[in-house]
Amino acid sequence: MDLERDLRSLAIAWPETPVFDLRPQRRRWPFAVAIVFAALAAAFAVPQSRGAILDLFDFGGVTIERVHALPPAQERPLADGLGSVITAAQAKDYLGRKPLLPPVRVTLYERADVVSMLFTYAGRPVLLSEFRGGASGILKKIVGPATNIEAVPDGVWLQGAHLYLFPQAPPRLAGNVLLLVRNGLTVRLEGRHLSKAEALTISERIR
Amino acid sequence: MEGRPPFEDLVRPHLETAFRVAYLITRNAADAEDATQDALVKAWRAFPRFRAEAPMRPWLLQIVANEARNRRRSEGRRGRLALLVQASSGGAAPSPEDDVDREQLVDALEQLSDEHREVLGCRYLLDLSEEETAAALGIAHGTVKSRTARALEQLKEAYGPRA
Repeated sequence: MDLERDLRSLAIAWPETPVFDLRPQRRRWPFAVAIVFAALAAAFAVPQSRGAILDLFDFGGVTIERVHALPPAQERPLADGLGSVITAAQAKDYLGRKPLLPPVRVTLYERADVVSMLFTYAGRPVLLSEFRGGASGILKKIVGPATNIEAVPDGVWLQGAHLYLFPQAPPRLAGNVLLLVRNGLTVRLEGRHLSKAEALTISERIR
Repeated sequence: MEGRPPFEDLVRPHLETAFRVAYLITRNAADAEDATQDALVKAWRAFPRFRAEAPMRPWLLQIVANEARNRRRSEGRRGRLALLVQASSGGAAPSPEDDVDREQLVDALEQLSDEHREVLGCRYLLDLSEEETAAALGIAHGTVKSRTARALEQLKEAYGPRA
């Protein structure tokens, strides 16, 4: 057919093929640095929070920073910006092991090496996110004076609104959160009105 | 894994095609670059599960195209397909009428739906086989045939009496 011949004969001016990094494991470190830099930039870019960091510590791959006043941020749905839908096999590639799953059917998402899923517990939405532990600063939380931080078995419970900095996404106002380190993964459970008891119950059921 | 060439050596010959597939889908060079690089990270991670006897190109194109589609959805960009017809130069240069025809053919491609433009782009602009096109677009081999036929019909209508 002439049309097929005409298509094949089109001399397309393709963009020049970039130089790609073919040893991708090297990308993780600069990426982590970029996340920390972006998070710090977000905190320090807001006048109210400049010089007002009271405390800073790492838990798993999460950096938690306490400040005098939270920088402004939007409250957005838990489902916002979870990334692309992935298969269980792909999740295993990202996490280096099978993801911890709740005992209900879930859709898996990935963004910036963080595997996330949404489900409901007691009729309310819960966001479960997991990533390989150890690399501090992958996620960041900025907490205000009113946020209560409490140690729980294998984890930390954050009660009260705080700022959540997710890679490649604008900061958002998060609800109550349980952070755990389990099987080499940093695990994050979030629900707007999630209680500590509920979070700990869920944490016992994910496997 | 023993005796298998390293990841870099296996993917390097296909980078240009992979990037162009991403470009066909995202219609943006920067997004295509990001999608290709992210796909390379994913391919590298999945490489231990890649069967040594399987062909590398369809496998890589599938990962790249999937990443490009995800990026197109997440970015929400629907820019015009930036296909530029290279200027005629040297030798037996086509006539101005030929250049006009080519521009109009590209314009007609632009009017097609994403799935029709992508299947024609893979088959005729990138010269991918039906198997490679099926892998890249995540569709069955038979669907490549039927979709190509429908896309050509649509293109014929859009291109007008020249076809």
